[in-house]
Amino acid sequence: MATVAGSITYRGKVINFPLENQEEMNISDDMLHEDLCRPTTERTKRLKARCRWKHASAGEFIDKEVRAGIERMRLLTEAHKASIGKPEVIRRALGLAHILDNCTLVLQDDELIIGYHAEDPEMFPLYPELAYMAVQDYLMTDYSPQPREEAQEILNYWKPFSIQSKCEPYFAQDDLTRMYQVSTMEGPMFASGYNSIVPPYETVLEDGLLKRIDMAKEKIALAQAEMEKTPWNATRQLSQIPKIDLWKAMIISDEAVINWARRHARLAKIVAETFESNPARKEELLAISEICHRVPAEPCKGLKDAFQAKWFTFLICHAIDRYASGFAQKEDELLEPYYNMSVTDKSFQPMTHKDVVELVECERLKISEHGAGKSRAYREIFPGSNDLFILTLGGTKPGYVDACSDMTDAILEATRNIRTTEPSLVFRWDPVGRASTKRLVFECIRDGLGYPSIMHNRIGVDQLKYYSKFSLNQNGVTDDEAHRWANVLCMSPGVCGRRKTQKTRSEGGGAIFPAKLLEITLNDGYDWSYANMQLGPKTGKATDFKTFEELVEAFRKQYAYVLSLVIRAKDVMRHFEAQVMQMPFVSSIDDGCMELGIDSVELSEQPNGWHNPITTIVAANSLVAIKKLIYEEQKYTMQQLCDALQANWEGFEAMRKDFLNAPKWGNDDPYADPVVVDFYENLIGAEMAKITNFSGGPVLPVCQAVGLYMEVGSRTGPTPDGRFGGEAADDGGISPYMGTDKKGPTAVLKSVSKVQKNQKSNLLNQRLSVPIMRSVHGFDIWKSYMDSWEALHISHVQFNCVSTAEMLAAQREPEKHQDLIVRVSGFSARFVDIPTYGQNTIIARNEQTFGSDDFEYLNTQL
Amino acid sequence: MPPLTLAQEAPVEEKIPANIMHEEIGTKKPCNSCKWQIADPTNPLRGQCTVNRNAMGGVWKRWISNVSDTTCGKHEEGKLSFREHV
Repeated sequence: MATVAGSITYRGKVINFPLENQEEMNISDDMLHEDLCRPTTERTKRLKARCRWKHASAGEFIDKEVRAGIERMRLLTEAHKASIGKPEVIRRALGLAHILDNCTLVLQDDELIIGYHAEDPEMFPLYPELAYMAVQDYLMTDYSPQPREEAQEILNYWKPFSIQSKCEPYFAQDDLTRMYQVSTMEGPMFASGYNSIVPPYETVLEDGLLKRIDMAKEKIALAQAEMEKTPWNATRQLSQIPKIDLWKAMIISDEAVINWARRHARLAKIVAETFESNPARKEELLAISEICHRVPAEPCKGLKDAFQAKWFTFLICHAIDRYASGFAQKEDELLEPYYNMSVTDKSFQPMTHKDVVELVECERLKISEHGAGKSRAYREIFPGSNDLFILTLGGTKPGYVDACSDMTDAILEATRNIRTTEPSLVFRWDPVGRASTKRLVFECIRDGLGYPSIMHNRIGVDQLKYYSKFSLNQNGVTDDEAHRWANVLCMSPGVCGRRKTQKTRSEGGGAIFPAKLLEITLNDGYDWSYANMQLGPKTGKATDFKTFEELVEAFRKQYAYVLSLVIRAKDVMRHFEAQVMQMPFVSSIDDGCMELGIDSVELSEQPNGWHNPITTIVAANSLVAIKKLIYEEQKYTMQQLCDALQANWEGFEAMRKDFLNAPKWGNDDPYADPVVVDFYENLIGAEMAKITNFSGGPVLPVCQAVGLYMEVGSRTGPTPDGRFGGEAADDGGISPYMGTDKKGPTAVLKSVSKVQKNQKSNLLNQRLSVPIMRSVHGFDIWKSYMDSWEALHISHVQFNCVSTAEMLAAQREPEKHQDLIVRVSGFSARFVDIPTYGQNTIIARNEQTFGSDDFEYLNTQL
Repeated sequence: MPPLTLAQEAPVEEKIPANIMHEEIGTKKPCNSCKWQIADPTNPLRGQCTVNRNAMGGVWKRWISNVSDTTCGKHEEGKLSFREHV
């Protein structure tokens, strides 16, 4: 029997909460999620059943069949050796072309969208040109590329050319050692290879690559004519040389991509005509062949074209040319014109809405099977999932016109039906958004997917306009373009479209860990609890801080040191990327790169600087406790606190309880909240805003967590908020620490809404009561909560809607709970693929129920 | 790797309690063969010790700067499941 929420009295009425679907009364709480998967067709049911998931946890792949392939690194090396002496950007294009001309193609049963990026769907490629340490780590595992000796030889060849080797000499060895530990700051991109991109899919779908090739040829002709002008003026004419090289590289890349797509066309035709015995599948394969011959060479004419062209573009941008996490796009607006052609007008590739839902399910399963050759650090910090694949829906078009469409609905319906951990969705919440689409958003959340996460639409639009003012070439987004944004990864809005999108990850994503920084601030910058070394500048002994403000200023110095180091590492990498890691294919599909002849990793028209403080609430709650118990009430001395922490609170239990029971964030508390707000706005945000990055813009914090709240928690000793050494830190950028929000969901909203200045976007993780959300009032309650959240000007919120009973049952019998999905932080994961440590942090989160006071505040109509 | 000699082992054992992680050049029980060790997130020459655990499943890690030549008295051959790590 399912649990039903108890009745309450609200505005003089007794409110009951019967389940919306009475049939669920017969499903026990601990098996609910195994009953919610309903693939739309038999095809997607089969595809899901045979999907080769590539979830990782604690640095290891869950499925023992998953392994690295050698093909990409082998082909890239052959091309690199054969292209000595040519301009670097041409070498990059020839490298891509050699891979695409010679790689193994993968064509699988039942697929409607085809293409893979390694020689086997159990495999993923590696990138020795990026981080030699990340590849060396793979070679020491059970999932090393084979033959291992050849892979080692390839790695040895690439080491001096790798982006890591280019960047390392510009940092002191102490700083490298500190960065690589991932305890006070995230390791640099050049040592992990981690990256993200927002591909300008629009040009591929609207123009086709043949047109882009013609544009590049025209540019070369004009540049040649410019060089031949007399009288010679070197200051103007010499600058044509790198542009000509880039346009030539664009042509090489685009032709290679067309040829590769047409290899798929030939393969599908051969299989159809020679091997396929099922007449229906034979017809499908011939249609696929015809599509792959036409796109991405030509503009898309229907929805099947658009899905296939987008998939090919994704593979090049995210996996074959180089690795990039993410699946950033405003998918509903991107596909809406093709939906209209195929479903509304039926002018090409006619289909029904249900056919579209099936196509979306197919795409979601392609992403689920996609393999990312990411470094160990990133195989640790998204436990139970594959990689950060996240797309964005909803929001507004210019003039604040609702951007929701039937394409939006098809994506949400498919997401609800097929139940996969990836790709995650972001929904841009705006008052003008249509109610029927918001209902579908609710159903995904209520069914426990953990997504869509919700972003405040108007905050995102305003942010893009703000950053536009700092554009180095005075060509940032226009007010209209500011409406077309998607999250770059899980939290930060970035522009989408034909131009000005983010091409590499220097703009954002460097993480800084305030909990660990506070720990070393209390120890003169020394890390006694993890690495046993000086981890930051010497900022004085804690016992010498006469005032709370002196302690805060010491923390500020530790934070500022780490902040500049993290962002410097990003920008130094960007500098070398522009020299040896050019992306001529991506450049070819960006209107700005095409017009200006500047490579996509160098050109930055729209600044969008953000970096990620993670574990901020542990630090903030600790400061609250220190301020109250040491500096104001003087119940304890700083020496006593330091002694207790060194002992991991052993022998100091009464003292620990005092620190644990000190006021905590998330309760609309008049003591804690001002301290925490000041910390976020005048320290975390203000110090970051002092920085100017590669793009010439300011940098603002995106406080969040991903799985780093566990990793950093395990590398952080005991903290003055009452936490023991090794325990997880806070699971959201601005969420209350797990279990410490005791005054209900609206108190959380009130606290969080107080932080406004110097912020970009902060992650709010909330867990909602399953019986209430599945009741007849579920949608109305959630909708009123969301409307209040929007009015309070909070940038983000995401939800878990999973019962403790079901999570405990999954811990006992994981094999019976393969469809149990939970929101970790910024991503969703298969619960049984998360380490027990991480599972326990999700169980420990406060499950928010709603009382009559909450309903009054939310003005819920019941 | 030079062959291990008793002369190298003996002084270390005299000075450092066996259950404390310590450098021991050429040890036969290096961290990289121990079930409590997990790789460093970035540098494959380093590692992390996870033997410190509390009853609630908390794991308090310690950094190992050299996984080939560090050991302690809690060394156990093997490898833990991902479920038992972080």
